[in-house]
Amino acid sequence: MSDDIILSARGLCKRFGSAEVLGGIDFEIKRGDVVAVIGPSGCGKSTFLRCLNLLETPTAGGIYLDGETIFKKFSHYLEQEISELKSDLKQAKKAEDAALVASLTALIGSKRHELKALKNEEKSIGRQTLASLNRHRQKIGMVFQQFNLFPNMTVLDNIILAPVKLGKYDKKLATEKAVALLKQVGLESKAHEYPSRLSGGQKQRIAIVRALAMEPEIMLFDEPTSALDPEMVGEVLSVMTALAKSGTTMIVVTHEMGFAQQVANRVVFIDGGKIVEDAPPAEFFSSPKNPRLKDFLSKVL
Amino acid sequence: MTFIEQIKVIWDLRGLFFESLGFSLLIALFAALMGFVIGVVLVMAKIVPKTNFVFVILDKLAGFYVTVIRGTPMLVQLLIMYSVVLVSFKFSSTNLIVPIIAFGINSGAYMAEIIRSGITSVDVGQMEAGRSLGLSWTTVMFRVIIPQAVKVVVPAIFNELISLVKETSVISVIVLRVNDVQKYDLLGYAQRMGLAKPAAYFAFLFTASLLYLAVVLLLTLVQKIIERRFKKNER
Ligand SMILES: Nc1ncnc2c1ncn2[C@@H]1O[C@H](COP(=O)(O)OP(=O)(O)O)[C@@H](O)[C@H]1O
Ligand SMILES: [Mg+2]
Repeated sequence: MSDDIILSARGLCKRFGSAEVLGGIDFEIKRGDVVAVIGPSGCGKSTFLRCLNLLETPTAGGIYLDGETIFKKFSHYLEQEISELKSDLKQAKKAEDAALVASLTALIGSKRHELKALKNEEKSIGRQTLASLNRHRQKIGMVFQQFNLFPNMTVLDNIILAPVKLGKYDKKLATEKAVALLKQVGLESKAHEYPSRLSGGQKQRIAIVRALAMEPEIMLFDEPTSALDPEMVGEVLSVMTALAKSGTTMIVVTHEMGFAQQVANRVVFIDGGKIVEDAPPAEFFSSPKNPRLKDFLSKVL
Repeated sequence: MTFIEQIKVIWDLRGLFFESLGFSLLIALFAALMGFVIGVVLVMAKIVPKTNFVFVILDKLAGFYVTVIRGTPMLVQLLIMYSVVLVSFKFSSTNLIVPIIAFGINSGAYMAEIIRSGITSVDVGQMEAGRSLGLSWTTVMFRVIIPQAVKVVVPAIFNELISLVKETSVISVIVLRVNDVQKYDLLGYAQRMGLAKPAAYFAFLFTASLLYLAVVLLLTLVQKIIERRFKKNER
C-alpha cells in the first residue's frame, strides 16, 4: 500500500437480512483526492460511506485507514473454500483415488491452519477497533443529507462539542478556531443562534464546519445538497469547492454532475453493489465504458 | 351535625389535614425522583449497544423488573413492602421511607417506559452525527439525545407525578390496619377522622378530594408553564 493512500476498502460487502447491498467494493483514495460517487438511488452509496466510518458494520471485507486495519473479515471465504475441498475429498474417497485423497487431506489441513490464524487476527482487529473506534472516527468527518445539527445547542456549541470533549483543544482555543471556520463559510454572525433559526443552506454549512473542527484527514459527504431548496445548493457547493481547492481529501456522494465534473479529480459509479466505473471526470463523462453508466448519464445530463 | 358544624370541625382540623397532605406530597415527590433515577437506569440498560455479555444480562434484568412491577397491583407491592421490608429492616411504620421506596420502585417501571419513548423519539441521525465526530455513545446520549428527549418527556413525567399524588391514597388501606401509624397520608387521615366522627365522614372525604384536586390543578399549571418555556427556547 502506498503511503499517500489515506483510506481504502477491499472486497467490501454489506447485506441487510437477505438483501445484498454492497457486493465487493474495491476502493482507495489518496490524500488530497476529491472523489465523486454517483449512482442510481438505492444502489448503496450511503451504505458505502457509512461502512467506511463503521456506522454500518460490513458483512465482509477490509477497511484500512491511514495505515491501520480498522476492519477485516475474510475468514468465511476460506471456510467456504475448505467446505468445497471437503466435498472434493469425499468424491475422491468414493473414487478410491489414494493420491488425490492424500493431497486433498494435506491441503485441507494447511487451510485449516490458515483459517485459525486468520480468525485470530480478525478477532484481535475487532477488539482493537472496538477500543479505538472513536479515535478512527475523529479522522473521518461526515456530512449528512439531513444536516443532523444538534438542535439543543447553539451553532458554536455544536462546533466545539467534539474538539473540547475529546481533548483536542481547550474551550477557548476551540472557540477561536470555530469562529475562524465560521468566517470561512460566511456565518460568523450565527455563532450564538440555535439551528432552528437557520436556513437549510446555513445548516449544512454549519454541519460542514462542525466536521472540519475535528481537523479530520478525510471528509465524507452524503448527498449534502439533496435536502436543500434549489436556491441554497450553490452556497453549499461553493464551500465544498473551496475545501477541495485547499487540498481537503473528500468523498462526495452527489447528484450534482457539475460538481463532479469540475471539482472532483475522480468519479466513481456504483451499480449492483459494485464500482463499475472509476475514472477522471473528463474521461468518465465523455467516454463512459459501462453500458449502465451510459444509460444513467443520458438521463441525468 | 349541621353543615356549619361540619365546616367548623374541618376548620379546626385544618392543620392536620394540611400536614397529611404534606406527607402525601412528600411521598409522591420523593417516589417520583427515585422512580426517575430507576427509570433512567432501566432505560440505559435497555438501549446501550450490546457490545458485551454483561449488557445483555442487564437488559434482561431490566425487562424482568418492568414486567413484574407493571404486572402486579400497587397495593400488593405496598403490602409486601410494609410486611416484609418493614419487619426485616426494623423501620417503624411511622417512617415515610417505606411508602417512598414502594412507590419509587413502582414508578421506576413506568418512568422507564416514558423515558424510553422520549429517547426513541429523537432522530437516529443525531446519534450518528455525534458518533461520526468520534464522540462516545455515552457522551452523545447525555449531551445530545437526553436533552432533546426531556422536552418530549416532561408532560408524561408530570402525568406520572399527578397519578402518583393520587395513588399515594392507597397507603390509607395500611394506615387503617396498622395501629402505631402516626403519619397519615391525606386519605388515610380523612378515614381515621371518619372513624372517630362518623357524622362528618362525608365532609372529611369531600375535603380530601378538594385538596387532591387543588394539587393536581396546580401541577397541571406548572406542567403547562414548563412546556411553554420549552417551546419558546426552540423551533
Ligand atoms: N438499515 C437498513 N436496513 C435495511 N435495509 C437498508 C438499510 N439501509 C439501507 N438499506 C437498503 O439498502 C439499499 C441501499 O441503500 P442506500 O445505501 O441508502 O442507497 P443510496 O444511498 O445509494 O440511495 C436500499 O435498498 C435500502 O433500502
Ligand atoms: Mg443515500
